[in-house]
Amino acid sequence: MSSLRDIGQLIQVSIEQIEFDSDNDVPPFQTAALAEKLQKPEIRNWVPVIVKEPTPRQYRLVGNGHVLAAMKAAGHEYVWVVIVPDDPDTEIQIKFLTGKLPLRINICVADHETILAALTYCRKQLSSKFDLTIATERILKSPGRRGWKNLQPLTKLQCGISSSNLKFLENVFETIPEEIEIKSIILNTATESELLEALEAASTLPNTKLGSTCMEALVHSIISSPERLYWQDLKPLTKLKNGLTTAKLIGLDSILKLEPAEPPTPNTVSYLLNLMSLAALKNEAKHRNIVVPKKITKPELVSQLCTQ
Amino acid sequence: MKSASITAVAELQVQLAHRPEGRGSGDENTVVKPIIEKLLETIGFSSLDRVEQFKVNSKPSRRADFACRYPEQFKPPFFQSPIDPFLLVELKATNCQLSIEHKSYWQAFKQLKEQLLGNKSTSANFGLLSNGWELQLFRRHNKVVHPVTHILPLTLDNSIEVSKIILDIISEAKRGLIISVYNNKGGIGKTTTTTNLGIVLAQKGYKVLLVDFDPNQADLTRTFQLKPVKNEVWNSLKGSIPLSKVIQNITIGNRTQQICLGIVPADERFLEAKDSEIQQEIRLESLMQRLQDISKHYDYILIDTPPNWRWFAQAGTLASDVLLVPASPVNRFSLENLEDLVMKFMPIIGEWRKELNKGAPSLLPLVLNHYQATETQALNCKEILANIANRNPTHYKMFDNFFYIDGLFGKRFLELPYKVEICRAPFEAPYLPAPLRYKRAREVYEHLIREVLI
Repeated sequence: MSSLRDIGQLIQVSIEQIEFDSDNDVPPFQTAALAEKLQKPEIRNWVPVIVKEPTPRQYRLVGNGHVLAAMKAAGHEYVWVVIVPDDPDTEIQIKFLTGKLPLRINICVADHETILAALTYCRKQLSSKFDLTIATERILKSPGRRGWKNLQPLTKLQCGISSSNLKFLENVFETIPEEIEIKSIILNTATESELLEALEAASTLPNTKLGSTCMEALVHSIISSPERLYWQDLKPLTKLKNGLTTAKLIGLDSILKLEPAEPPTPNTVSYLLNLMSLAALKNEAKHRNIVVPKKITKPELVSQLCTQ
Repeated sequence: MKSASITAVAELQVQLAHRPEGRGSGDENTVVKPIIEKLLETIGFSSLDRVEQFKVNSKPSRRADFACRYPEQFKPPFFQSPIDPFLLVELKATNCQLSIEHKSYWQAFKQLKEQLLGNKSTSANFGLLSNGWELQLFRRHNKVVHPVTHILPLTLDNSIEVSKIILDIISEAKRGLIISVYNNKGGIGKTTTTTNLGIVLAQKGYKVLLVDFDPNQADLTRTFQLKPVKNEVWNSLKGSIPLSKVIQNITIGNRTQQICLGIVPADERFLEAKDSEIQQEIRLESLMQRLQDISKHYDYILIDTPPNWRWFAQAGTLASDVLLVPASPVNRFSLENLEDLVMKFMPIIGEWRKELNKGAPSLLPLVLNHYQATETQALNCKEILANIANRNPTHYKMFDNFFYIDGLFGKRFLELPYKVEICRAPFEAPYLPAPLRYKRAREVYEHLIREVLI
């Protein structure tokens, strides 16, 4: 559809045709000083005013309001404008490009170079003495960084960034948590690489507590566990060499799913036998024609059932 | 003039809220009429100011569904003395498609036009066409009936806006008709047609303004022994000075007859500027705005546009109520490019005018210029034009209305016959435009005026 609107064009329009809010963020003395520089009658503003054209020939200021204010103050009737599309994304882009919105780095996803550069700037501005290398490394390796909702975790990295620094850092960093989608895996049957990938990804989630766990050692222990096939919950992870504490299991149930295999016949799996009561174990022994002394303990009976 | 009352708008909205969803035939009286009655009340025509089934001429079948007139001092109410109507209304069934691609639209338009041109409705300035879901307002200027709104949907949400648009238009002072003379092909007599038509209209006593909007040639300006100006038209279109300051009023003629014309001369500034510079400094609709400012002082404003679909042609046609398109029967391209005019350029102009809340310009009947009525010419033209219409079945009716006029013996071309006097006049000294020098030349344009304008 053809339109009279001049979107994308650099054109000259009457200042009277441009609507704008009177609360210009440029101090009046600066507008006056700029107007002084634009006094010549035929002068052209080579930095155009940025306007949108919501309806034909109705212009609304989007950017470079200081140019408009100065041209008006200098007594000009016309001003050069560039017409941009009337949509919120364009307005935000223009605010960034004209420096009206601070450009901030999303610390949740920023790479090493970017974080280092931003921290270097912050340290200089703050006259702070935190160690740039350590701070950068700790931010990068901080589990759950991708889910940070504010900069508060920086103060817990013990890298020299204190709460008093945060106000300034908020001008440089922003936190837009990344949507993290982790595919759940079957703990009983997952391969070593699947386990390692899932647990490393889980360690970045804000609701997990895996902290400084050595993932390679943990995965190796899981893979080496002969009874993994029969696990019915996550508790066996706490009993492994290099295993997890109960506290560290929080949040893992959404990633590590369980599909235990059927018990073998006869059931010689100590993990499964340990889940049974002493009476049930005695019944199992009787069923297998194993004679057991009356006063046998559960561990002794489990041990006997495992071997026969 | 009354303004839209809140009660009338509320009643219109009640009617629209109860309008049946299904659109059918034969429901003009049951569905459409109550809606339009309320709409008429929103624009100030109470039951005392309107009559139904108004006879527009002596034929009993030629009746307007409504005729309206605002109350006037010392005149009885319109319902008591139904003479001198101001607005006529033609109602169609809700299933009548009001869209230029539909035959039913053109039939309805033809009916409304006949009513507006009836001998009992010579005072009617406006005509309204509606099917209860859409409506369009037309203006009558002597013999020309042209849309002044696009086809407006009528809904519960926009009823106030629609009512306001209509009220604003019919409240405007009576103004002249703005005609662009355009063909995308050069050398087919646009400037000659503009000049001579303007002169003959002035000879008939009409106030005429001619606009030379072809600065490259500036032929119209030179025809009247004027020099192109420098900057004045540019500044006026930019809004710095009123167009009235640019108009040069001239008196031309011989001992027996003198005529007065207003001329907007060509401006040399446009020759020096690149197209992009013009677009940067002057909005396309500037000519339209400037001409509308002064149109109440003229009966006819004729714009001489250049060929080629560039800025001047676009601005000229955008400014127009109607387009007068001359074509040469011996120049195949001047006929073939009419397809582009209707299928490409007119929709663009329509969209632009819609953005400015104005109706699309309409096409006056095609003028075959320098027509020499040989059988071969007639056949050639007929074939080319028929092919264009047949290639575009959705716009067949539009092409049909454009290419032919109704005659006693059926459809025919509108011919502007070749007269040697018209061609000879520019070379004769002292220079006098052909219609002022030769009766035969004047008669050619009088014929054209009778056929399409007055």
